[in-house]
Amino acid sequence: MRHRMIRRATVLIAGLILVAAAAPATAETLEAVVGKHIEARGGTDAWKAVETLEVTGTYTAFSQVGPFTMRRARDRRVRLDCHWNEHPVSIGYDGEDAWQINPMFQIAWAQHIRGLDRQVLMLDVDFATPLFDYQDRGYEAELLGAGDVEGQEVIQVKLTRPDGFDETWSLDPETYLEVARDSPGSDFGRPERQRTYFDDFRQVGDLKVPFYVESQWYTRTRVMEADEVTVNVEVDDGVFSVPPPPGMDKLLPMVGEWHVKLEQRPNPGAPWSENERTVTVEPAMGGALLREGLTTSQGVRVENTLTYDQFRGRYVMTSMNDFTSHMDIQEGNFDEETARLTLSNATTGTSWTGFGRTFHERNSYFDITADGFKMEQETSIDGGENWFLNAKMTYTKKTEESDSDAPAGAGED
Amino acid sequence: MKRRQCILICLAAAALALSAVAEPMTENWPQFRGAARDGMSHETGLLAEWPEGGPTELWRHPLGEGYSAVSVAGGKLYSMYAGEYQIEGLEATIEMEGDDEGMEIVAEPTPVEYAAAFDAESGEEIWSTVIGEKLDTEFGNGPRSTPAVDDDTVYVLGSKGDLAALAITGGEIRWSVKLTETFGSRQPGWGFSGSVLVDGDLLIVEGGGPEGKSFAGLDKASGEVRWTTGEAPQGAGYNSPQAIDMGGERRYLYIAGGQLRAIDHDGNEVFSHPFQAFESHGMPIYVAPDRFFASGVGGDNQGAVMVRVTGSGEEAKVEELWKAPFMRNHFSSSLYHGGHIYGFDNSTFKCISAETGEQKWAKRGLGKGSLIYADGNLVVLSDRGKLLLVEATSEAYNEKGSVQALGGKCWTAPTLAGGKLYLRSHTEMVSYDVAAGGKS
Repeated sequence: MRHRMIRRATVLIAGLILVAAAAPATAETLEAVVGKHIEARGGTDAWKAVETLEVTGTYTAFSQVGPFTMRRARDRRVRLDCHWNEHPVSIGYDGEDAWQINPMFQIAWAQHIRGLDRQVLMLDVDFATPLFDYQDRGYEAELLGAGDVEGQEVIQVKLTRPDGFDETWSLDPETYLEVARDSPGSDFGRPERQRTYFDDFRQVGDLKVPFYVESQWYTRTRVMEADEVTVNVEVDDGVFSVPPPPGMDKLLPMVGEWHVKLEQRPNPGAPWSENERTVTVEPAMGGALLREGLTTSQGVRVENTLTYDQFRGRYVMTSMNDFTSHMDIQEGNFDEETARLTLSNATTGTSWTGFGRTFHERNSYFDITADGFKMEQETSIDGGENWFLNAKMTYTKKTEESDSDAPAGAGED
Repeated sequence: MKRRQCILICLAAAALALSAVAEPMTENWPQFRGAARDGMSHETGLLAEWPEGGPTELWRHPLGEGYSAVSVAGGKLYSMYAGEYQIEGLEATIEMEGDDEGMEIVAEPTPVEYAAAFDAESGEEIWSTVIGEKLDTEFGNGPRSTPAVDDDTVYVLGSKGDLAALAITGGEIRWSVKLTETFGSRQPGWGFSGSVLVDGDLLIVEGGGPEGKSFAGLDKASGEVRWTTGEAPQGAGYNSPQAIDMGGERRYLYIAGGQLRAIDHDGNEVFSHPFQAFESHGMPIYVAPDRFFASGVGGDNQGAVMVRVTGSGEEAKVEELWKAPFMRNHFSSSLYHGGHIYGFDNSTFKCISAETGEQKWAKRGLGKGSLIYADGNLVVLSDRGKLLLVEATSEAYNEKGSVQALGGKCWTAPTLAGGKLYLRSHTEMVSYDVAAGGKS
């Protein structure tokens, strides 16, 4: 009996010793671990002084090396320019919209990043790590305690976003710098676990910054090796925003509320009549489409859209009214020399037939500036051989004065 | 007197023994991953560590695009690359009347894949033979498969499924088979990539066909199909078969159709075990007498598994000894040495215990590299062309020399023969002397 008690006591003591030996990594509180991590990275004050951060170096994807530039700014704005398989790739987040230009998708213009891909992108929008301000962002934090990353002892902290997305940060128990981050990942939208390694920490002013970041998921590997990290460089705010779709950049000044002077005539011999109206041109689909809605003085509602077909390299305009319920489709090109966009339905097969004739339409937009632009409308009754001008519209930026004497969206057509 | 004679005899015997030990052993590297296709070289007398700046570079030549590795036999190198083929003598000026008078007809060069022989000493090309159409892909054009040299014949497989037997002396085609036609298969996304295996009178190749035509055994002399076997609903993968002696019997081991599988000389199944990683390019490893290691990357079942096999055919029993979510071979195969497995876990170089799967060490920064074993060390080529000598030990990662050997994308494992390393990137080939004491 005594022997058994002694044995039990010995086992108990041995157990306590084991617990004590394992304890150092887990004995700390979450607050203490996070606090030491923040201090290791340079401290809250040092990072609060950072307005922008630019990192340049080499980026490896698909075993091919190329240069990269990553720019970060307050409000978690970020832009990465790099190369994937010799294709230039840009990824950005302006605090609201996440986007990418990735020719590997066979699309060479900006696409919005949504869903899981956006959640994954949000992993990399911080100046440092989300441990700095997880509470302000409504993240739940849990100290998981001691762990292991590739044989290296770590302390692990799990953060869970309000939407349930989780990321586990593994910190070096001696330096409290991050060793790895485990999180959901995405391979072209398909969920895959992702691990990101952080290494080669160097001092940049008062900050401690990883110069080696490697992400692995599925069969993929991306490595960012920094050559230079510069704090508070001048960065144009525009670099974070979704780049306008190619072709539409020339037309985006047309977005806004406009006072429109309309001059029109029913045939070449008739006098011009004048009318005024207010219209709004709205961007849709991230600027890939411009939409103009108006109501004529006869109460006919008209909806126009204008876009650039990037696959065929031409502009397309649709015009629909609820009088004939006929949708006209016009196509054309932008003449760089005259800065004039000319579209017609001469080849689209949507011309209007009546009174024994076929009426083709041709519209031109020109003198496009932020303050205004002009539009001319022509008609042909000989299949596009000859055109006569039947309407001229002058758009000027809407002011309170111009607004007072023109009904919104209404006018005489 | 007798005693002196005895001493003399003993001394002579010792001298002989010493000379035998000191004499470096060299060998050919006649096919993908060496003589036994296991990534193991049995050469000795190699540099135990490399000098600053790496071993001596012997030669360097541009090479057409491709990932085909280098085979070595009889002082010659054999590999494959992509290039253009201009039909000679077709250019002509044809006398015509009217506007077309004197029009010159010039044939457009055709993008093709070549098999070629090179002089091992100089790297100069000796002959080249067009094998088939060139594969163009987003991730690197050209052939993937490595030639197999057997006696007086070189067996090659183009990315579009052109299998051919070539005369070793001049590259003349002795016979050829189009896999897509013979087996009703379709070209895999990254091209037919498996390296053909020649063993005895058989040539074994992944045909990739439906209805029991996943793998095939051909008569190596005629190209005639002797048997087909196995199902692979996704078509051909990217795995290469290996010949092993298991329990005194010759077996052929591979991964295809979501199965780790061994077959006999007639294509009959010896055993199979489900292994469903998305991509299993890495060859399985046979750990005698009865264990098998399989690895793959991507998918829910990615990682590695070690199984023990008893019995064969319908009596076969396969027991999983351990399974790990890591050691995910992608482009290159792991190798077994001294109770441990060395390989690339996606893009982390690792050593794990073959017994338990336990990780011994890990080294990042080498990307999706490749490796072989030689004379107590691992010769490792990173996917960005850094060549390293690493001690083959489970104790710790111990680098014993390195050199930036190549630029660009390097997805092809090193070759070692006669104390020389032969490496290639996607577009360049280089040789290094790694024999102890210099010029081998």
